Amino acid sequence: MRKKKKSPVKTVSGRSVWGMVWFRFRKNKLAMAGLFLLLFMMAAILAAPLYVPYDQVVKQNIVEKFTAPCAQHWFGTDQFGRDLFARIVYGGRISLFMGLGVVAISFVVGCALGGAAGYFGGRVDSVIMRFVDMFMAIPAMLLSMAVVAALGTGVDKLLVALSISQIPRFTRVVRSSIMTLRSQEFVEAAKCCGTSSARIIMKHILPNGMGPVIVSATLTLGQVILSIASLGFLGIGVSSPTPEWGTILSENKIHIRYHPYLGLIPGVCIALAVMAVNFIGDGLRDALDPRTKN
Amino acid sequence: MLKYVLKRLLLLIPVVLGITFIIFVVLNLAQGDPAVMILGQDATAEALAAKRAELGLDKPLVLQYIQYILGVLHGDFGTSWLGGYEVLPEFLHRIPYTILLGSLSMFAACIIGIPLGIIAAIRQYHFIDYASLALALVLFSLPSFWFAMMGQILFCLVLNWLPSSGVGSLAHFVLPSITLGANILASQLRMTRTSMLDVVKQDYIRTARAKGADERRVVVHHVLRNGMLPVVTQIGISFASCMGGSVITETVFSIPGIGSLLINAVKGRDVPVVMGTLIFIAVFVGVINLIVDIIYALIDPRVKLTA
Amino acid sequence: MDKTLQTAGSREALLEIRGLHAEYDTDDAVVHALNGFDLTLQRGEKLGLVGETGAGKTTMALSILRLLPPRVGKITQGSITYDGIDILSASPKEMLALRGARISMIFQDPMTSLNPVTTVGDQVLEVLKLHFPEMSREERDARVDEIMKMVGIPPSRKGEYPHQFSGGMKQRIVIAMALVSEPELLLADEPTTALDVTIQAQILELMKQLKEKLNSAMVLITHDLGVVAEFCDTVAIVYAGEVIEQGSVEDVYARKDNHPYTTGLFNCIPDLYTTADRLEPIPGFMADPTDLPQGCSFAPRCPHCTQRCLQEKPSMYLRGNHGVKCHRFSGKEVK
Repeated sequence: MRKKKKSPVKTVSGRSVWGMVWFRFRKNKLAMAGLFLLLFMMAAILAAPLYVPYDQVVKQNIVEKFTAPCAQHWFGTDQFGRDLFARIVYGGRISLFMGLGVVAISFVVGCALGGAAGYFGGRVDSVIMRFVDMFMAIPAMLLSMAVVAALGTGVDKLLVALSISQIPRFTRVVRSSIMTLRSQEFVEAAKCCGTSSARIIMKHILPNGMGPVIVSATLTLGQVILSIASLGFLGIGVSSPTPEWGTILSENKIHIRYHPYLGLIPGVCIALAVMAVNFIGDGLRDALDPRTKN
Repeated sequence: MLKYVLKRLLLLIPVVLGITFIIFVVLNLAQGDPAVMILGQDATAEALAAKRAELGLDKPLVLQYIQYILGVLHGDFGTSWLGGYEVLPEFLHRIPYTILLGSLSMFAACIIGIPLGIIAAIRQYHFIDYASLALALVLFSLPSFWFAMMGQILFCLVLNWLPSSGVGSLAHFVLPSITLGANILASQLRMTRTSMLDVVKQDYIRTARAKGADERRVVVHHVLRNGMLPVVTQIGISFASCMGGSVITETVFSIPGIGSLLINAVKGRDVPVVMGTLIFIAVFVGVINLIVDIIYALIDPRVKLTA
Repeated sequence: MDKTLQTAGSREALLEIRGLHAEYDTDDAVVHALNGFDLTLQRGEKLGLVGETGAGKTTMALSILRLLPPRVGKITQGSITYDGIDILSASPKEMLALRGARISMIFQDPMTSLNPVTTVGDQVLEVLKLHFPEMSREERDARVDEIMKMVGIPPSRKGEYPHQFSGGMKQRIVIAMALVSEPELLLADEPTTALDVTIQAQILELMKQLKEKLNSAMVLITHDLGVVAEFCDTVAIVYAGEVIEQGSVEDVYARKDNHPYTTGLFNCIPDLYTTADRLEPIPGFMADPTDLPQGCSFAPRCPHCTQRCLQEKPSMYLRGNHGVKCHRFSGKEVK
């Protein structure tokens, strides 16, 4: 069985580590489907102003209320006659891109904190990790709710609240990843060669330790999209009339029984986005660690 | 063992104090005048001053916090700023609902998710494996509030099989438990499957086969016993996310538990209630984690509980 | 020692492998691990199987037990006959009755070969429970105690878990597990590779003692020619998934008429009695098992390579019981 490990390296030699990851990722159909779906959704959302004017989002038209999906209103209209398609497309800016923002912030902060804790160890490590323990004592969802309670609602505050609840997890993942690498022989070897700390971190530890962190970031993105929708639904996320997928569901909840498309369409949008992200995350994990397959 | 438990409980204290202090400070710094909130905009300056003094708001924050914690230690969690009720009795009244809901969902998730994960792993690449994975994926990707809402409309309003909200009977808990448990079920299933597949690849499984153990014995005696270890940890983690998810479920199904109390307190910035709830949850999660670690040490001979 | 060879014709061999081909199907390529592997083993014969890492030694051992990793590894051609049983077409039930009872295997890495959550006593006991259901509980316990004493572990420690033992002790337990059923054939897959040198010596010493006590046949897989000289009656040299030289230890170690690869292996061993400034490594690398040469698989590295070697696969040229798969010996066979 030792032979098995030898051959892939040989056949795909000449590629960098990330080239190899991409090579394996590309062969994973589900992951590629997820990637295309997510890119398509992102493109549709970013390009929204080109095909749906923003005033469609807020323009009320009581005469046309509860119009089922049709050629004019692809996703139908809500109780105020607002076009659901426009609301969904513009709502995606918050649901999807705020999700990305939260993950980006927690990723950067988590890498800095976890990297410092893992690389320097000692007192730096224990101080940072005590704080992480504190924040981990409360489930992420409840922690972001508590922060919302303190800061109030709004897009910027939501971003902070959700990031705070995700940073501890990232810090942990980065730290443990670095702790395992720090004692490995190639890092020791680099140290023996007199390589500087900064260079060791940039050249040896980061490229090797990023795998689990990136997988965790992808899977976290799915959870964050769900959290944004959940907070919106609970009425403490983004407030109406700003569209957001969870808020759209919350506004329409009493009408869903008789107009099911009002519930189905936003729900399916959230589920598709989360699913796409999870496919990508699973695909990345398999691509980064080929041993998990078979 | 006892020494270990005591030490873990003692270590929980600074964690809970730390997080509650941070939240206490943030809550107090960020918001408007609570006295105005309680008495309304029309209250006289004297009345407001008197209220502030009553709440201890005229003192420095640290002192306020110490006073609050001392109160908590005496069983006084303060009075709700919005509802005027005492926090502790309200809590004791609501806790059973949340615990019942949480336990039912955890139970349902585990007895379905873990066996499905085991079967999926044993029958890897078989139809049932793909079906279980697809189920886990869907349940993992669906927003639980949406799942709850759609379930409510279908089973309660359209089909009329189950009561749609409230807590009258056990039937009231069926749908909430399923919707809260769905996400947990998905993660249990995936965790179990991954862990089992990981164990199957280990050398000692090959050793067991080389001894002449049949497939059934290999799975039951060798794979399961090792594969269940990470699942136990996962159950602990699930308990925490279960507490988070209960906020949504309780809101959708109007269950008067801790979750719905917290969401109203958050909306109204009701500091004593938010603080009390978070303390309770932090302690609860801490104790669950302790129990999980003890169970883990009991089933894994390599882990020793050292105080 | 020559007894086993002389009697070879007189009775049926215990194990006979003919033209075995096995491959691993990985994501990127098909790895041809065994390419026409032939081997005959008599009852009680101690055979040393020598070759580089990746030559197919472990694959051969796992094939005998039909334990190649499912879905990835498979046998594509050839036959394995064990005491009249056709292994490759045996029912799962027949295989269960063979594994652990009549054929035992000692694995390479004792650190990972033991179940971490079961006591070592129970792991040894499991073999008896599986294959000797008629034994009483007391008999079984007595047998476990006896075998543990034999491998040098105090029976009082049988209630402990693998992590409480050192690597050498773990390998002793693995050996106890393999021997407790008194198998007819023992497959020892580099039993000392994962251990440090002093422990290696201890385990080898133990195996030598056990060899005297048990009369089971043994295939000792190793890359150490020295160990083979000490232990074995016969030796088979493996290169790129086939046996390229076989014979009694005397014949092969005479260092005349060896396969060029075997000569290369001997040249890699430092000798205490002659002075050599440097050891002579074999040039080049092991044949790529995903892309094997058309002719002799050793040809690209062989100092005596001819046009014929590049095109035609050599067959086994026999001189008595000493066989070499090399064209240099064609026409020089001696019966």
